[in-house]
Amino acid sequence: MKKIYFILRYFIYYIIGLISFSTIAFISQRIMLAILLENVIDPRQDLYNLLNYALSFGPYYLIAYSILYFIIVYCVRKYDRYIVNKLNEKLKKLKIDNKKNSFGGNING
Amino acid sequence: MGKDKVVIAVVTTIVFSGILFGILMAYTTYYSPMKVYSIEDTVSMLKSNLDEDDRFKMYQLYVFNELSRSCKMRDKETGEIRKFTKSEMDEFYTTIGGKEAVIKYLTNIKDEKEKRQELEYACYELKIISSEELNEIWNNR
Repeated sequence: MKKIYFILRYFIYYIIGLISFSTIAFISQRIMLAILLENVIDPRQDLYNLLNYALSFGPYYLIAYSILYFIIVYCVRKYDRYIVNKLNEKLKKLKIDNKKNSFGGNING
Repeated sequence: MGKDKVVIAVVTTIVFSGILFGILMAYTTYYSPMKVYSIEDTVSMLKSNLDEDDRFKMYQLYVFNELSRSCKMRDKETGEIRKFTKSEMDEFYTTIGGKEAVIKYLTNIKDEKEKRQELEYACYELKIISSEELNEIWNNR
């Protein structure tokens, strides 16, 4: 159950990211093409041709985003481990310091 | 605090990657080979010199402009790609008569309604003349 929830959460993140990435990439692509072609952006025309665009550019967006997503997930997990290790080291140090202090207290006391 | 940083970093990465990827795709599309149904037919169309049909030059110039971005044609059926040299491109341009031939044709149209339609078609649909040229031709009628 926990595993299913974990996979579902990652899948939802993937879908949200894919939609955001595709939207941003598509808008940026249309603006750049309009600049290159010295053309005017017509949102009505773009909406009319949305299915054609999705079919022709969608697979590229999907591949690019999937690669990016796995890189992000890998980096975040690495960062998580780094943070956890750092915290563990701090905790260890704190425990050692506490022990030293308690020993010192006994000797002096 | 650490989680917030990660979320900000992830969102920023997605936004910037999206922008960069969009720009990259636009350049790829713009400079990709021109897709045609038959390379030979398109080349013969560009080389044909129909003196009596000046309107045809508009289409020739449109195809030439599309081709001049990458100087390459790609056959939709076979996937064959043919690259054109500078001399071949110059030959096409000379056969068409250049932009001057199209401007001459547009200037010589007598009927005002037809002239307006052709000018708008050349400027906004085929994009072979600029809006300044459109105004100039229209004002010099």
